Amino acid sequence: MSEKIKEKFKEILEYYDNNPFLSLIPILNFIQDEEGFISEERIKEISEFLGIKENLIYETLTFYHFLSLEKKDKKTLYICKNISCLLEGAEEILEYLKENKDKLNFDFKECECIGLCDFAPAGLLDFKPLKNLSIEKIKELNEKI
Amino acid sequence: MKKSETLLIKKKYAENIDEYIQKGGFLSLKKVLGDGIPPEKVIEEVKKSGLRGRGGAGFPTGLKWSFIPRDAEKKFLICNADEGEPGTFKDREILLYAPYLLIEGIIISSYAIQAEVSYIYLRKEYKWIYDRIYKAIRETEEIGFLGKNILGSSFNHRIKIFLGAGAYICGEETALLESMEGKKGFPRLKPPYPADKGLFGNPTVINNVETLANIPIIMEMGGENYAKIGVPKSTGTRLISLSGIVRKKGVFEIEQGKITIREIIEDLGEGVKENYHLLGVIPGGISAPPLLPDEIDITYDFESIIEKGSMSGSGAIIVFGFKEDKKNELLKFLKSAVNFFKEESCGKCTPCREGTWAINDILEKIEKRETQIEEGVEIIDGLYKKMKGLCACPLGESCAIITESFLKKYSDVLNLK
Repeated sequence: MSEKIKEKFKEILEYYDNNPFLSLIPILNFIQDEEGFISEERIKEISEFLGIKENLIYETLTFYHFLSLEKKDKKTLYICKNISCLLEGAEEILEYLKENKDKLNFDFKECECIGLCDFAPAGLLDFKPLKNLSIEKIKELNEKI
Repeated sequence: MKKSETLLIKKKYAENIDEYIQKGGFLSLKKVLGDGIPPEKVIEEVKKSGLRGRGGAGFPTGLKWSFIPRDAEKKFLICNADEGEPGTFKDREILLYAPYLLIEGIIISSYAIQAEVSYIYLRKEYKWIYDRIYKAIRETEEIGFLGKNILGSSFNHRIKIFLGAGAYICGEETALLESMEGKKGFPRLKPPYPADKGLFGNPTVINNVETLANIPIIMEMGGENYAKIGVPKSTGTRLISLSGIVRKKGVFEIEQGKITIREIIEDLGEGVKENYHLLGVIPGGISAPPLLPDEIDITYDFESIIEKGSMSGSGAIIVFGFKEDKKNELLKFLKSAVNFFKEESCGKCTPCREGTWAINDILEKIEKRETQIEEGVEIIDGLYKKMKGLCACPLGESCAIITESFLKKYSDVLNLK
């Protein structure tokens, strides 16, 4: 484990009053955001650091949408497909993404409501809001990434 | 009080802590801690206000607090910022524009139940708001309203933020506790209730963001005066998340029981968008059954909507409908709603885990014309009877209720080719 990561683990544990169980999801979140996925090696390290059995860590992390065991080369764009976004044309955007999969510099995933219904159709990239999406905006985004 | 304007919560929007203080921020905290109002008096005041939970269930807040055993050594307060009910984004507004009001509410509420530590459980989808809240907490610490011996009293308090990892069910209070304990978000069987055995077995109160934001306002004007706003069983204001086919979407503050759903759409939402045909309104997030266009001349409050067979839930109004030639898209929307429950069912209880998939299958069959709508309703009704009250939480039965309601109310539209 690198020094930087170890420091961060300590910082998180301290913030949560040295409670390993309370620190587990925050630590998983940190690794996920830092490295894009959670590797077996990291799980071993987390297990050792917090004193929580590996199988329990797997059980927890496989439950949540935004924690993943899968290594990804590209960023993931989340597109909401709930009712308020559908009413504003989320489907057309998803169709465009599916048709142009090969040309995209990012992965995309359908997700449930992200609380941006007043800016429908909406999405998230790096957990930052993408508002009033259109095919044009997707094209622009693809240029930038 | 007018039907809607900047009523209570919106008046306390503030860019920074100075602006909040200029608007009378922290005066309630000074009143409570500075004047040494006993915790039970604070609970009494909240009981008098008639405040009901703004997260979805509408449970009386003061009553919830009074269940906390006073002699327990360790207690916690958790602010539930995991709003995930499709159509809901009002807590997002409070977190962004009124974080100081929320923090003041958390401190006063924690004092009322004598909790030294509180947590804000923030959904991962709102990670972009994390820094804003973190900064607001720091600023509050810097001026001495958080930390040790707040305002010279013997009360100490710290607020910490806990980021979720993506699961709708974690908005259910016991699943939220499991999640904070590092586990998967499975709702617990109740009893014991969180007030007896909450976070790590300690008595815990879990309140929604908007609920807590009301506390400083109640302490400022007094419970009795707060109860004069709104109607007897639905006091105070509510933040409505308005979305769908209206011209103007957003978060509006309304006085409960004084404005009808139609007026909310017409006056606040500036009406239905051009060329769109209004099919109905979902009055409280997608767990709430839809109301037909001729059912929306009712006031927005807990009771009036329950009488119509739906609920005000999380205060999310989704106005739905289509352009004239697209009416046959309704089934697609219903499928998206059912798919949501199917995806978000946590898997703990069989009736919900299996039932949500079964309901999804029925819709597929209706779509392919392999099943008639009446037959579908019958099957779903049977499923509902096997779910009702038999699961750890209401997710599964909500799925059955709304599907049945849609199929019954819109059978003519759904039968369109």
